[in-house]
Amino acid sequence: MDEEGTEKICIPGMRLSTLQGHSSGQGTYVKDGYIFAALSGILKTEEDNKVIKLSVVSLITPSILPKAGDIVTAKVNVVNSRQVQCVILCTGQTILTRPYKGIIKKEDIQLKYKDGIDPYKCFRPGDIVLAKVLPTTELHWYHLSTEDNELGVIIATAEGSPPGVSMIPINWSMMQCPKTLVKELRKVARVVPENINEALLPLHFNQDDESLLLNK
Amino acid sequence: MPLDYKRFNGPEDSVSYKRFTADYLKSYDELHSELIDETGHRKDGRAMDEARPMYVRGNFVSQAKGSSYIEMRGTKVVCSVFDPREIVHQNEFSTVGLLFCEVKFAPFACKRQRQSHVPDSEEKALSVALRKAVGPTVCCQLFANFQIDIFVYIIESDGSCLAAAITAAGLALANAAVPMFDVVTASSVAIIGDKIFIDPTEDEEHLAMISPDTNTNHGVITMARLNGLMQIADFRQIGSLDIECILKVTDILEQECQKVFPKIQKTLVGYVKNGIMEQKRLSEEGKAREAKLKDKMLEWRSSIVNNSV
Repeated sequence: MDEEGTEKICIPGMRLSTLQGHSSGQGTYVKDGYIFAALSGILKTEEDNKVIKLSVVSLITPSILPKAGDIVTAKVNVVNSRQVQCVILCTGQTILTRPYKGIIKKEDIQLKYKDGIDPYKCFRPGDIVLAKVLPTTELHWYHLSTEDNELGVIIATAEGSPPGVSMIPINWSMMQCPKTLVKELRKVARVVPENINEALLPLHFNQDDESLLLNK
Repeated sequence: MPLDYKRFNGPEDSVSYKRFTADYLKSYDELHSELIDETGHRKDGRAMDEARPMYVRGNFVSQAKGSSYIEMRGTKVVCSVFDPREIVHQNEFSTVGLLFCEVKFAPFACKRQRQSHVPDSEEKALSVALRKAVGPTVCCQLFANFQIDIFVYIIESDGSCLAAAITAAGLALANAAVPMFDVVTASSVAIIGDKIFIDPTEDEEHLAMISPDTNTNHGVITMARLNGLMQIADFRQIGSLDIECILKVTDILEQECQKVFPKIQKTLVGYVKNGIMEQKRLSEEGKAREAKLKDKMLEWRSSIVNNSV
């Protein structure tokens, strides 16, 4: 509709394109073979595999809820021998304005040795966890799973160590505090950087600094 | 009715002073003849098919996720929308979310009587009508088992309250970034005999409802429309009307809804534009701050290198 530089502004109900060669992303919906905008914001186009994915990015946090298959960030509240209760803080990139309750059942913690697992050796209250949302079966509780290698505890503080000092993973099931050297058991997430290629390459910023210093 | 003694209720036997004015004692025919003057204009100088000018804005309530304010001369409506939350007493699983709508009159909103804080039947009926009208436009499947709260506060009521409330709710929902199928706008007419009053005032609405003649057309119709999708979201009629009249009025209402639509569009686009500007400003500020930090870092590093040499 209106153009501001190169950005296209959308409002709900605007017809964006036909379904041919396009796919519907966040903030859009499909009706009668057309893609419509569902939010007011900026139109974003991404091309992958010859299909142009259309999505509408809202400038404020959209009022959305976690849905099955999303990766969420949650904070562990209660741990007992059968399940772990947590509060969902973010879904994907968006920060939720209200906390929503989540549950990780004992059998959804890891892929192997499901029966021999002890939730106390995987999570502790206060841990920040990455998890995947399972299909909802219960009212008001989101069932979460940390079965994948990339999912599990990402931030945790050891017992007795000063606040703010988080532990460093040392293997799949253990983390160590850099200050007190206490080792604790956790279901550790192998965090994959979003742009893996950039992470492998040395950063340009540092190179510039070195060269500047050498010149001096 | 239970009384809330913490509020000012007024003496129990108090009567509105309007009861004793000359206007109150006028008969239906007198009132009817007053509605239109010799030139065919209404009391407030509008033509029969002329809607009142409308003022629209969003981001009106700072505490709400999204909000809006609509003013049509004497009708002033505020709407606020909140994030999805748990439904309190729900024990059955459902695949769609719920909309909770509440329409409330300010105590001083109505001309005819003082509104009590306890929701009366009119407020309840308006709430239900609002939910029905806004329901088709919200993507309810995205927040199954949760509810979105929509609160409408009518500050001043001078006819076409429901239409204003629906339009305000549509704007507030879009403002709150609730996924929606389309922007919803609404408009209403009052019909007395062969006269069609577009965007009626309180007097016109009142007269259309109390018409003593049962054989002629009289009543009020409010219609909500999804303008992009060209669908009718809600159609609400009070009074006795024949089919030809309703068909004719439906076309008129569609046009009226279409006229309101650009105002809402313009408001929404304006907010997105403002948002983009704000983002640009913030990112520039961030860059400036980063550059400063980098300079400091270099200075610090070089000082360390110099000291060690």
